[in-house]
Amino acid sequence: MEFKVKPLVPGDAEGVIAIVNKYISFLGDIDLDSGALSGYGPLKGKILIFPGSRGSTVGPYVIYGLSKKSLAPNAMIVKDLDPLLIAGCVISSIPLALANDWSNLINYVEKHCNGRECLGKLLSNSRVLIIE
Amino acid sequence: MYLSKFEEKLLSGELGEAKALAMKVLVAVGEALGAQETIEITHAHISGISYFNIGDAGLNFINDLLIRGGRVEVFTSANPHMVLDDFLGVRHSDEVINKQLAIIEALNRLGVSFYTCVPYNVRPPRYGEHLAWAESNAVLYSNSVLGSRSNKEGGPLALLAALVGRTYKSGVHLKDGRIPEVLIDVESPQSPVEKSFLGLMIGDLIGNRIPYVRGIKFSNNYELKAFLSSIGTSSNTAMTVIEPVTPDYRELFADGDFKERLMVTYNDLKKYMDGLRRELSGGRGLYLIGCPHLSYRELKTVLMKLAVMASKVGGYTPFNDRELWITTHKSFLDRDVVNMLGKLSRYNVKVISDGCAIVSRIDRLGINYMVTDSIKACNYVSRLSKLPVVTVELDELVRWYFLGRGIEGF
Repeated sequence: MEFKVKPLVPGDAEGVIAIVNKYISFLGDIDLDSGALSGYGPLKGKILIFPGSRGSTVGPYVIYGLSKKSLAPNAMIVKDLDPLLIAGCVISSIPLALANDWSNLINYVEKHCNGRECLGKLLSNSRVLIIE
Repeated sequence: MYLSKFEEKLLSGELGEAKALAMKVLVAVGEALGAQETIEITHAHISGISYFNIGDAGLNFINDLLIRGGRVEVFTSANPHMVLDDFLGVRHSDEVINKQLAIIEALNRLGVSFYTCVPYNVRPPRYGEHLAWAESNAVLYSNSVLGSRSNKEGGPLALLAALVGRTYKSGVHLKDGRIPEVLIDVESPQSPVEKSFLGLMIGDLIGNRIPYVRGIKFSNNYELKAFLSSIGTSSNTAMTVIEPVTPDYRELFADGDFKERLMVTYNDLKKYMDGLRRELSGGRGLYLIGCPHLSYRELKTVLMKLAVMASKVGGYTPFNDRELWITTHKSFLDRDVVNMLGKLSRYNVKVISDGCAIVSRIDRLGINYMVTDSIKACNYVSRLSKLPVVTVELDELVRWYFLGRGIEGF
């Protein structure tokens, strides 16, 4: 299945889809030592789909810290545009894209990737997220 | 986004890796926000420099910028850091203090000139200057009072803008980005704290929109700073047009696109404040003046007030359960100030230069409660340090400190 996206930080990535249908505060919701998101688990290597980040302006440093420890997701797909998240992804070299049709994407993923591992592929030039 | 030849060079890494990274971030953010080009800035002001805020991740990022050849391209200041002094003999651990000193050292090497949350009191920008400032009260003061222009450049954005001397041209850098959208008529309160609460209330009402406020009168700059810092506590707006304070307020009114008109009466304000009334617990107390940091003139006025009150106490009241901190910028500590302070030190009055109580986890210093005249400090300390805090008028705070405190505030 293909979903149209708008790349905010260009780049291609592959990984298991991680769907977190709530706003994430990078400072507070994520354990810096393990890279685990509270209520979810480790984000390392994942394609993280979530509505957006909220709260502290320290978020970009946290993302940077995760990437330095190789604990960061491989890409992020979001609903909301947030300058701080863009900054965090650029300094950490993590591709970031905006979903064109958020509710469609979230419905599909929640239905098909619930209880099994879905593989995702973000192709920045073609502006698509392909979910297997 | 259109980039000049020079900016292409910055982006390509020809002028160093750190500048390339900074340019990359500005372009990514600028394009996402629909900016057509960048704009040169005259002054960058960085926030988020307390070790308690940015932690090792932030320290490492700043150090990595240095390793990659980072150096500021324009005049750059930064927010105050955590308080390094003790409270009644209790200090933060050596580890925490050393990490904070390492952050300051790295920022100094990047070229940061000074540390305060009131850069406009140390190096006031002129009308029309473009800035990349990150501290909310300073951004509001710039746009609303001085007519210099800055968006709220959170996180590492101001720091990265400093490295390349420019930022993306959007928001208040554009004429369209300064147009007020909410018209608010107010009945001006009398007291400074009431005016601050009006700011907090306005911030609640506007969300991220720019308001046009008329009817409020300020007796001095101290009240104006407090009002704006309160708006910055409850709202993300970069600008508040105040009649007749804001330069160009007439043009901005004429250009106003008022989708909403509100009226805030004195009675509305009183009700709002009554909902926030609270009682104070006992124990060891911090009395805080200087959020935002005091200007030189404000510092001398406050020290004068303290000296007058101290003379009424005599030598008998024990001061073993409280300290009074005045936070300000260190360049304001001239001989006069140091002399005045010398006479107040036996009352545990301290000037904390370049420090900020909000970002200092003061709960770890054995402090049980805080009294302040700043709504901003009250708001953040109660959340970040989870301490009971009340806001009272400055004169009342001074009276409480020297002559015995009351139990209720806001």
